[in-house]
Amino acid sequence: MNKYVRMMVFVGILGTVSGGLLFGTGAITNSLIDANADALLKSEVLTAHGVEFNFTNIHDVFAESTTTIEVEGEYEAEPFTFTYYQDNANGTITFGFGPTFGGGVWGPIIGLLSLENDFTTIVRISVLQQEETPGLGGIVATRAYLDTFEGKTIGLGDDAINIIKDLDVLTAATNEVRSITGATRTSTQFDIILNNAYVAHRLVWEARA
Amino acid sequence: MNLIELFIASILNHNIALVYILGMCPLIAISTNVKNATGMGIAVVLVTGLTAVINWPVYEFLKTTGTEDLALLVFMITIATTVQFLEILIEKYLPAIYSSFGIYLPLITVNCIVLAVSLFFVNRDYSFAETAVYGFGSGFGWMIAIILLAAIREKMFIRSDLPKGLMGKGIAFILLGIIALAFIGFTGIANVTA
Amino acid sequence: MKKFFARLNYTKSFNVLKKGFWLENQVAIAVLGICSSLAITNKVENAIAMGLGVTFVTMASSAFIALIRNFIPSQVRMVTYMVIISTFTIVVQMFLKAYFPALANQLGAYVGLIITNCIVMGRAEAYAVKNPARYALVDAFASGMGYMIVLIAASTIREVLAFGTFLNMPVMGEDWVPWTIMALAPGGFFIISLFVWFIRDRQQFDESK
Repeated sequence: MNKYVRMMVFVGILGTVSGGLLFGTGAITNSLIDANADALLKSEVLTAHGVEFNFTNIHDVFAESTTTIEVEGEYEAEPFTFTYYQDNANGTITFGFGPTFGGGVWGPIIGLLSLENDFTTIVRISVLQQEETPGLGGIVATRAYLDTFEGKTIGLGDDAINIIKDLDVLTAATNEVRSITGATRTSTQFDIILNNAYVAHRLVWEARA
Repeated sequence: MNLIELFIASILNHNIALVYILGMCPLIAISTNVKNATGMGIAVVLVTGLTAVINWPVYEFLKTTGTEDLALLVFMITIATTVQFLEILIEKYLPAIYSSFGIYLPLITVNCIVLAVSLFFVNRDYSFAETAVYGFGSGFGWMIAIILLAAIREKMFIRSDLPKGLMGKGIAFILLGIIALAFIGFTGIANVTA
Repeated sequence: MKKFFARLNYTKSFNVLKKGFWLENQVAIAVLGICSSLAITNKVENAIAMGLGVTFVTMASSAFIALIRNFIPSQVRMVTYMVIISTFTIVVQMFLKAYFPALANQLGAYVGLIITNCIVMGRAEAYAVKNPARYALVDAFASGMGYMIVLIAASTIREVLAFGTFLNMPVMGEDWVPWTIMALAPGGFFIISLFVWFIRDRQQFDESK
């Protein structure tokens, strides 16, 4: 009996100490983590919109040059807030994609998709967070790979963006992009996430106009 | 999500041992003969399926209290506790089975696939039925991998003239590499997400 | 000089170091930490990051477990190790995300891999729980470094063959046709098996003993 009591007491102390440590660290770091994430989001949006900024004036520049439009809606029967960032000067529209629209192979792929005013031509894609295999699926977050999407088109139905294995980039159509060599699963998932996010955001955007 | 398709996918083109390369340490350590491998495999199927089924409602509870960041820690605690309870139960009520594979149970707590299945159902937003099928299917896929490897190693031990450095675990790597290469051929056969 | 080394052989720390680096190299002899070795060794920078991460976590958790080793009830050993290791890793990740966000983004995939890494648990169970903290630290350092060295060696071969680069600097010239298999899992298996073979052969290691 004494043995079990000792065990319970030990587990209790262990649980409390580690829980306390986690919550404590969370309390200290959460505001910083949120601030970092916010700064990262804004810098990526502004870069996509072609606006100059530096890390001291980023929040002011963002407030001046971008209009944030939020629409309450539903995605797959769950409430979802559709957030769009539109540049005041050139009308470029940016919205985010994340776990709501699909996941990567090992974890969520969270990022931003920026389109021209026509809501079809891709200006830029950024990946803010991912947990894919470093060196393989992880390439989905690199600038070099995401730049291959620049100028491509994405649309509804058959015009959806297609990430194709072993694509001949010289003869590719405007909605076709090459997949990552050796990372078939991540490429497939990225295809699904981008298209799901696009379709949902476009329907809501057109409904409000 | 078609459950049969999910089950087939978790054994073939999303086999957690040969395609995701998880659970390697016990796979290589216990695959010396088919008897041990089968014992370990059955234990893994049981634990993986059971913990997936238990962790799903636990995660739903975490979602309602908004503390999903603790998910990793909580999953591991439930896994370790489940394995501990299983060990106590089996030792008490099925002593014959305990003596033949009871030693493997504590080893399973550190088997990466048990935690990985829980993390995957979170990532892919599975329903309860899908989690159960995926959990048992993954365990079953792992079991197939270890039995395959054990069968080959058992024969090799008797018949092959291996260099000293490759005997034992060394050759297991090369064999696994070849089997993993073969499993790449299953790509696209079934999906794990809708 | 020879006398110095002969004397050194009698010190416990040196023996612990020798064991961790070579005689009981975690990858080649003990065959632990394999999941991460296979996934991470496709690029040298990943191997370095993972090696450092594992060494750091192993040292911290081994030291801590060695300090409280007299209080841990034997039935809850495994749970204790897991809770300590995962709490520590998550706390470190939170600090990284708050103060070094770019680094934390790149290491996002590794956290899960480090927590379930058999080496961390293995050193805790095999050494830290039976030895004083200062030796547990040395043992953890040696095991982690032994692991990292094998990883760097394996990833050098894999990166050069699979991508034609070393630490992202091209070394194979323009016309190099990459060996994609070296970037995938089977390539990892084959290369690691070469190291297992080499190290075991040099030590004339007999597994059945």
